[in-house]
Amino acid sequence: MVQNRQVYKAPMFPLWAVIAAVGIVLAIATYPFYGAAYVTSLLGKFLCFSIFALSIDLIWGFTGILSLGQGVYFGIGAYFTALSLKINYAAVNPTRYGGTIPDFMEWNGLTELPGFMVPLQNLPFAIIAGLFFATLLAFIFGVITFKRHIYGVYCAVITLAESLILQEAIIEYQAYTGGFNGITDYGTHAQINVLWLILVVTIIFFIIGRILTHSRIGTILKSIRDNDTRAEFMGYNVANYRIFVFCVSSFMAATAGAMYAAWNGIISFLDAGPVFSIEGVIWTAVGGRGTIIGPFIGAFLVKGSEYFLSGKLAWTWQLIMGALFIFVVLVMRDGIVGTIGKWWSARKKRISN
Amino acid sequence: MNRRKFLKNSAVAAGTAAAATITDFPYFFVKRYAHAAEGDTIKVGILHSLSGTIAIIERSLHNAELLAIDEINAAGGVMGKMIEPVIEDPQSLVQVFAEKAKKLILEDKVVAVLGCYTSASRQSVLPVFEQHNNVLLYPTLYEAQECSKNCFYTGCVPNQQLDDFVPWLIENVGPKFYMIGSNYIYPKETNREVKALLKAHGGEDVGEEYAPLGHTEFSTNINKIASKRPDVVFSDLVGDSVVAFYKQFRQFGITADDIIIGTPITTEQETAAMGPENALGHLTSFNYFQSVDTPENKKFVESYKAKFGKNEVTNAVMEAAYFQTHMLAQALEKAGSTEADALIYEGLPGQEYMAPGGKVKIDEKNHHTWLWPKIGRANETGQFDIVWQRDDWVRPDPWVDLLYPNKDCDFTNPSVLERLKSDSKDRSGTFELS
Repeated sequence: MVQNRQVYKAPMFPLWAVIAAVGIVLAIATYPFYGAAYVTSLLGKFLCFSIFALSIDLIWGFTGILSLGQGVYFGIGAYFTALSLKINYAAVNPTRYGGTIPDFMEWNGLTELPGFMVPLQNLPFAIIAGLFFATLLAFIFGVITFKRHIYGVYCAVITLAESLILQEAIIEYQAYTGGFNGITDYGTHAQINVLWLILVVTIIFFIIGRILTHSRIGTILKSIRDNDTRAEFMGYNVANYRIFVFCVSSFMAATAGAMYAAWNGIISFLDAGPVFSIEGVIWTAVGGRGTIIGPFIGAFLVKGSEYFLSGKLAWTWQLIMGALFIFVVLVMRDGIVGTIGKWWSARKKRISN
Repeated sequence: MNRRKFLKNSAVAAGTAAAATITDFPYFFVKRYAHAAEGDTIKVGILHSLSGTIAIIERSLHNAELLAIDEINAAGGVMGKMIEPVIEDPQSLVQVFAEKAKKLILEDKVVAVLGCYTSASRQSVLPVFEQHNNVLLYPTLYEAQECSKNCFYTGCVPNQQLDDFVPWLIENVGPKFYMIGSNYIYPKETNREVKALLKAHGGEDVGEEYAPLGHTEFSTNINKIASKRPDVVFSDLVGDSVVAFYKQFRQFGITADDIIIGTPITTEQETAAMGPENALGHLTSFNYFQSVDTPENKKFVESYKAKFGKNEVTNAVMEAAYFQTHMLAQALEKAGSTEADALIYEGLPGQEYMAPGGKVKIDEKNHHTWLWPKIGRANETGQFDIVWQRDDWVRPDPWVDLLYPNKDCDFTNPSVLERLKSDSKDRSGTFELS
């Protein structure tokens, strides 16, 4: 008996998902009016973290490039913005040394703003320069590695080294970066319009991510992930697709970093380092890689429970977090969203049979 | 139900059960304190890393503060209420310090926070305390040059550790100094003052070097030191570098008879970690050593060991953590209120306490603490024999006179007070005055 075979393609934006998303967005956007100030400050951070996780998901979950150095791009975005804010803040609010340049420059013996940092006085320029620089770096990195067919473990190692280098450079050139102390005390930018901005950018990136992965390009990316040799034989320029998606992802990470710096009011070398980068990979893995909503759920869940548990159980929270990660990896290989998705489609199949 | 399905279902059930219990997890692993009903306690935040790279040191500060809170509660608490410590773990990460400070102030509504160890962490939380007008008590020695109305500094500042120590070294050991430090703000600022003191007292600076934080390989530096043959190696290395440097210095064959290491950093904690034979004979300048012979110190050391283990050692930063907690209790009692402004303007300035290392007092003008400088020589048990001590306490001077003549903070100046009180949300909490 010949079955009527229909290729089912899920809609780009299913109605139930749109309704749920509108509800969540409204809840977050209005939260500051009725919620706790502390939770509001967490919300803005978590949104930035979820964009960061989304950027990892795009290259890892959809294209199969495991980057352990995505923090580099987040860090570049964050540092350009924070430096600009700090320079402007120090110019009007005298530092503890009484000067008009950032305090970390003063205790390192600088007496005036170094020439190459003067353009950073312009905040919009600094932000755009940060995003551009991050994307450019990703492009150069992509050309060097992907064009030469360096994938997999080697790529992971190179990206890890990249983030280590940036972290060491930030610590070493402390006269320009604040070094070990990071950059702090540059005014309060945790205002409701900044939260809304973060929210809007998150929505835009979410939509871009969905379109990118749900379109023809997305199918090609997934085929590269699953079998890059075969994709190459079918005539696709695998390296170019990889470079493209790597640049998009870096741009997203840098944007997240820039907004995070403004919202959080403090950044340090850790925001560019390997530990943060790997944390992002964990959020993506827990939420569900290869799904667009997974990174958001992962970032909110892991970071949220971390903040919650570390307060309640100051001595043992790390053990519990570790146990949860092991549980997820052992029992839910596809992360929370992936597992639920599989269970749902299996159930559907069972019912229709 | 087959086996596979059963396993799956039970795993899900276990997961849900775990998730459900976590929300009000019985504090099995957390030390329990007398919890009175809401409102019947005074909440005090404790913000020291319990995990991460600096957890070893911060855990001891955390312990010293809990010990003091136990003592205060055993003696009847403050204003008839028990003190309830609200413990947070900032994980040795500066961002998390700022985040947790926010949480303690906004969510838990603590009256004050005891916390931080590194300068980086203090600088990350200060804007939070100033913005939300709360009180931070900070127990670590630091590079000073800071005045914040919301922060009270109970550790040493450079004038209390260096002004006597450097001239004493020049006179009793020799004039040639070689400086080695970790590459961040504290050693850089400290060495600036050491150099000024050398100049003023006829010493000679024969070298200055900085190693990255966490650096543990010093053979090239020690080679250089050996070739320059200074009388004193002035070390402001911190953390793991201290242990590595002393060990490799000894392995190179240099003992304290050849070249003395003088430092404002190395405490009983580090000498225990490196093995006392490596520290033997080297000198440290501090306001407190475990070997201080006072009844208060005997009680402090004994109760600390009884509570946390007989092999534990105490050190100057722990002493500050301990007495600042007692001072906070006294200040609350004196102010008669848990309002931040009452603590800042009435309670804490001028507060005195009979600390293990001698009587201490918070300066009314600059919020730093009057302390008793001492010089200790490490002996074969890892403890310090006190070879010199000042016979009066020393006023803290965050802006050292040699480098910044006539510069100081003044929180007693009526016009400053007026401005601060009228505008407590303004960032003018940090400022400096003539």
